[in-house]
Amino acid sequence: MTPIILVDDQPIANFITKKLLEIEGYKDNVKDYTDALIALELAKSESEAIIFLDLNMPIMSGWDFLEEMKKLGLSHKTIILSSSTSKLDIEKAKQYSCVVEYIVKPLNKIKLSKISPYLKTG
Amino acid sequence: MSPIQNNASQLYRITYEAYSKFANGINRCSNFQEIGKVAEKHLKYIFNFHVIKLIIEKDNKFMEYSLCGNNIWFGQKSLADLNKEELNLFKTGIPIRTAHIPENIAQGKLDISKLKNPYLWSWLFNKDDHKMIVSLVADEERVFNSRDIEILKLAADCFDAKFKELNLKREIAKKNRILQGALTTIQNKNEEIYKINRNQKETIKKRTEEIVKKNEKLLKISVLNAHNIKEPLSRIQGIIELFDLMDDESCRQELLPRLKSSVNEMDEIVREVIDMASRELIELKVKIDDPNHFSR
Repeated sequence: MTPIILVDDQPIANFITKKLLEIEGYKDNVKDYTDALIALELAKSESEAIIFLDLNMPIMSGWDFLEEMKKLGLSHKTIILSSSTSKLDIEKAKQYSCVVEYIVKPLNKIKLSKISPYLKTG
Repeated sequence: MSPIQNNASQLYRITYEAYSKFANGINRCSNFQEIGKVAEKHLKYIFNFHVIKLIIEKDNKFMEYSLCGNNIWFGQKSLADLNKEELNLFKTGIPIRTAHIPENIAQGKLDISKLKNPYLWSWLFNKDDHKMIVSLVADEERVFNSRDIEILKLAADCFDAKFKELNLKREIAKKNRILQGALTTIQNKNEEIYKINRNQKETIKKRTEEIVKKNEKLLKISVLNAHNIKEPLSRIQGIIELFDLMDDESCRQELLPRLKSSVNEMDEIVREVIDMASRELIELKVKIDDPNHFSR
């Protein structure tokens, strides 16, 4: 199964996503990180991955993460998972070709079902 | 051919020719000195005199204008400078013809004792808004008689009109100077007002800029605060979503502690937001109460 990488500086946020994925049957291929730098290292080593990415993080933000991926030529399907409802953020995220979806927190079953095609094909 | 003195019509013609030269000359004068020169040159051809003196009264002010040979003198006089006959003439208006001539009539420029049987003639002419006394001294060598009074009146009118004109010009010049002074004052005041206005505009601009900056800062803070609150709130909402999907035991063990910690975190952030807003409000109130704040 395609590895799923969760990146959020809040452990509880990662926990929620992980639980929802677990309920949907994705468990062993899910890894979560509160440090975007370490998550980036893993993303580099994977040929294919699905990334759930928070935007507002200290040290390395979601934007920094996207820029690094772009530089490295990584095209992992990325789902932005942020509490920001700002149109500016949504528009900016769409500029990145790897971003397939922008979900406003909280994540729930219905929102997750929308992106399930990416999880299955991946 | 009869002597010219006996030919009345010829005499009148010469007299009027002389008068018209005098009148033309007076007309062209632009100051009192010029009037003096014209009078000295032409007046003697109109009628005979040793000394002629004009006193013009207006609003209790007197101006004297005298001519004796080549001597001309004029100037301001007060009531005290007038002699008894002149004062009397002003009161009664009755013309004077007398052999009793005041010693100082020509201010020492004429020796009356050398004259042959001299007479002093004086008339008062009432003009619209002022009075004029004309006095002259004549004798047997320079004969003045009552036939000359009419032409003397004309000459006096001519003098009077010119004096009036020159005085008017003087007054206008004086008023113009006053107006010019007022204009300068107005211009200075206008400049002051302009400067004050400019300062006011600058102050308003400065204040507006300050307020705009402050507003921008407050808006940014409010957006940032909303984001900071929304983050733990969305976590709480996420946990609540999970409650429906998990069994009671798991909920109690896994969700409840996380829910508590998220709620506490949100409480702390809300508290911080309130504290910060209160500090801003207090600071703003201090600035509003301080009248010198904006002029600094």
